[in-house]
Amino acid sequence: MKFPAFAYAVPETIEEALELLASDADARPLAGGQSLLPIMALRLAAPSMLVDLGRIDMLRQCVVGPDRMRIGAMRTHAANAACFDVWAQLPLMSDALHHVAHQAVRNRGTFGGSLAHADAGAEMPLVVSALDGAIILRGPHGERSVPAADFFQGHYTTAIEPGELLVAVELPYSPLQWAFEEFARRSGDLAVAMAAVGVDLDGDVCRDVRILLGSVGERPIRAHDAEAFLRGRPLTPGAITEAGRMAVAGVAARSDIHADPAYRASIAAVLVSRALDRLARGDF
Amino acid sequence: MATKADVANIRPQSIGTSIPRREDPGLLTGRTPYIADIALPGMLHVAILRSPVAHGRIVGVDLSAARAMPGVELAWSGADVAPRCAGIMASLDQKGFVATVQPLLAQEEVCFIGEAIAVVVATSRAEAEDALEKIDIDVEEIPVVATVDAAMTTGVLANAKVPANLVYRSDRVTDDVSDAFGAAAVVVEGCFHTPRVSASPMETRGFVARHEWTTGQLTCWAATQMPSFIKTMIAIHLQFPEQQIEVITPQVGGGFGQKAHLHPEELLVCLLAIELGRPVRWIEDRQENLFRATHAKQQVNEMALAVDQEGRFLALRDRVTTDGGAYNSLPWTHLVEGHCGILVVTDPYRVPALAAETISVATNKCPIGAYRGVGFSAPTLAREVLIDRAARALGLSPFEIRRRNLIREEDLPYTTRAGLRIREGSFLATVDRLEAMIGYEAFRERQESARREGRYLGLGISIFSEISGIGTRALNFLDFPITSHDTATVRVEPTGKVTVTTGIVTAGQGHLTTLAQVAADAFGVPAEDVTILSGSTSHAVGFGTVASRSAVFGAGTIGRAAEMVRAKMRAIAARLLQAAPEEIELSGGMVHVRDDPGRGLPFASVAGAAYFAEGTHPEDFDPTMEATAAFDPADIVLANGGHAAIVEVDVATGQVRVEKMFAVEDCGRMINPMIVEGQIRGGMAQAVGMVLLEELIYDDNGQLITTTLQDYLLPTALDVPDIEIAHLETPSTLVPGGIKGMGESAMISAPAAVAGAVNDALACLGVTIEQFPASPRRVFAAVARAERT
Repeated sequence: MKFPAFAYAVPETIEEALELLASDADARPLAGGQSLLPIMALRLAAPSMLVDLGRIDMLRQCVVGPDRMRIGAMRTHAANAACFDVWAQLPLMSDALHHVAHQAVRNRGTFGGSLAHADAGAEMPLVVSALDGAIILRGPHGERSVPAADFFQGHYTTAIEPGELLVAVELPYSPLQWAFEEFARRSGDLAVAMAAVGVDLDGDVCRDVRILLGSVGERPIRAHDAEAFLRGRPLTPGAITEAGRMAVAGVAARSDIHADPAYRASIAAVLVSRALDRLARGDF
Repeated sequence: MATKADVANIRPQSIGTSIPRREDPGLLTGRTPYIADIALPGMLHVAILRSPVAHGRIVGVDLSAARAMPGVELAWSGADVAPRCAGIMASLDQKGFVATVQPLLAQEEVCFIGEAIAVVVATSRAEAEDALEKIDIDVEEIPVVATVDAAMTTGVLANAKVPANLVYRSDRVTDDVSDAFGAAAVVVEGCFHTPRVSASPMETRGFVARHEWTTGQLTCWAATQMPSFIKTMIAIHLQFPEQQIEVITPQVGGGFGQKAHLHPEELLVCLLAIELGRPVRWIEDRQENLFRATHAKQQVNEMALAVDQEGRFLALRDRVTTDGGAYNSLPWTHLVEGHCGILVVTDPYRVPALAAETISVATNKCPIGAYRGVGFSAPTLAREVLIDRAARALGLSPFEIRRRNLIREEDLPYTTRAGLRIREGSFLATVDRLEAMIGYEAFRERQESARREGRYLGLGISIFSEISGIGTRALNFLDFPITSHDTATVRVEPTGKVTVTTGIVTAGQGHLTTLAQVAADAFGVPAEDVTILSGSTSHAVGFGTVASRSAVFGAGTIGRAAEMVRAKMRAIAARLLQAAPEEIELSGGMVHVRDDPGRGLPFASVAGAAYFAEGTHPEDFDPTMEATAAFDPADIVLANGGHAAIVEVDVATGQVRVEKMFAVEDCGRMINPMIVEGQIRGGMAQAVGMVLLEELIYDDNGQLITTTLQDYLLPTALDVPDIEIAHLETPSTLVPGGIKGMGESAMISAPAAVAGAVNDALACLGVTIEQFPASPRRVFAAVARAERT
């Protein structure tokens, strides 16, 4: 479990980093290293060069706007968890950050790194999808913004093109009330399943609703049918159970040693129902 | 006539107090070296190529590209090693036992994923790993025996040397139980699967060797629990003169039995150091540890218990199958699981009839070895879950049914059907204490009201007796024809300080503290005046830190040696105080006339007189102020106690959360209660792991699926609840100070408590859980099955 040999570069600007990445097709950017480095130690990846983004101050900036926040890719999970603006404007993200690994990993692991790695069991891709965020990619020919729905393409697969760098994420402030539920074997583990559920309630009637499942499929899944079912309906116990069932109906869930597809879908249904139940009770 | 079982007189003073551990400043500041901290000039690094297939015939191993890689000093395959060492012969002098020989590097056949095929030595571990990728191996895959069922029903052999895949079969106790089962009011039975787990010490295995060609000296640094054993095994397996071998144990970062074996890598590193004439180091990484360090605990217990109308046990039947892996590990072999288990399966209950059979089979998996609680954990789990089930059937409380069956004061000494003589034990007191700690009635009420809210709480309890301080008598009882004693050397220094050398090695248990407490009380001096030297085979001889034996053997050896030196101190003091030697006592740092502390001399003065003042010596005085003594208890030293767990099961997801755990421990007189409680807590954490989280999973091709700690789930601090501990003290008459061993108790019995609690939580749904770990997937499936029927 020792690294294969690689070159190492520490640029101080984004432009410099892009040049380095352009110079070597097998180079990989290094963010917090909490996923990439173990994979290299297991010799499942052997990049020729690591471009360490740790000294690019621009990537740690956070811009708090009136209707959205732009969070630099190199902000650590710990920094985001401790950020007042995240807590105040993006409570879903704040909640979900409690489930991201353990403190030691949160101290080094970064927001952008987690999104670029796109592990299906990670929390941040689900949060960004739930909030309809946009991922800002910078390449040799400038910047582009990719909606979360297009960015996450599969387990470990994203819309990032060779030579591009994930520099920031734009997250609009949601008018919904959110609840986050996760099921993992141990506290801090990658999720077996998770649900992010947002509602706009008029009394107990659901004016608007947004339901996303994480770790169930290869990428975050939006439960359109369950959302349609709930819109205009009161959040009764029966409706909550039915919405959970509908959220996973027809979903091709993934399989691993912890959960086969059917069991995984059952858990996801329970998590959706529990999130809705909390929202109905005002416990968020 | 002095014998190795003599019980020396030690008067507890420091014993019984929770003095801080003297090793902690070094451990907590990182100043204490572990094996990976050993750095020697010119040292080289080893990486081992491990088999990617579970079963295969080696057609060819091409090392030429690897040898040409930068930094590589040597690359070997099995053909290079075979002339130097034929492999580890693991045999037991038992009728019908099939010995195996495990080569250091595979020869013609590889028998499990992770078995060593080739080795590279380079100037860094990274370079050695780079070179491994260049080794071209040609292995022809052959059919795999991936399960015990396959081992017993198909004609495929897991290891060509083990006919019918049967390593050992035993039925030492075969009472006719048919009448008892026929007459029983209740028969409870089940088929209990305990998981294949890894002890997973924080520090993986490791070995460093240096061969000095000018002197012929072979110096080894080993992360082992058994340095003396390793030394002798190196001498035998490598035909190396034993007097020129030293095995040093730096601080060992946990062992739990996994480091209580002779591992092939240890002999291999010695050979490499001799061949290269440079120090060679092998530090196992975590993935190797999961693949290749010994696994443990995988048994199937098909058990049935016959109970009469009053809840009294009539008979117990058990058929155990052990999935032992491809080879026997030395010295414990496959017998360490099921075979050990059936010999204690009824303790501590009165069970009039027992029929028990055990089979160990070879499979294409990593060999099993010792792990805290060894083969006792699995049958204890099965038995205790069945007792709870019988209690439910009869409408008895789990405490009451145990009270009706536990060995009572008036039964002692009680001999179990397996032949274990139980001479003492506070079994009933344990049950009463546990019941009071839990508040049983209140718990049942809480359980009932939670159930009305759709929450499922469960309580599990387990009562145990532990064969502790395992010496020759205990090993022979367990059918290991092994002699096991230790020695210690005790020296009183000229200034009255005490130096003890012991063969006991420490892997975090705090022996430097507890043995100092023992030696201090043997001489009546403060513990600060005692130094314990351990960690080298140049010191005393020891069988190893295994089987809850260090407290017993430490007290026994130090006590006997101290008694010999005390006689010298008495002789001088008697002369100076004009009293008879028999009247002289040592206490409070003084050597004085009994019952008259005023008529005495400081301990240091008497010691000084022995060294420097011949005029004080009695006639014919021998001034050797040190002594070496052996110890091996006269009989089996039994500790006892019980555990309980309260869990909550989320039936919608299958997740089990442990709310609280309880322990009652009776290990005789405690040397250091804080350390005793640390042992209990650590073992209970491992019990949570074994029953709820940990499982080494092989697929149908014998591929290990759980190859990192992301998949092999160890309990973290967040998974282990508050633990409440109470103590009872029934002193042993076999050990100085009344001491008993206790290191394994929590892993013997706490798994049963957790398993029982899960079953108790689900009993109202008609759900039973017999396959462990009780993962959410399994619990969910069991609940779903019950709902369907």
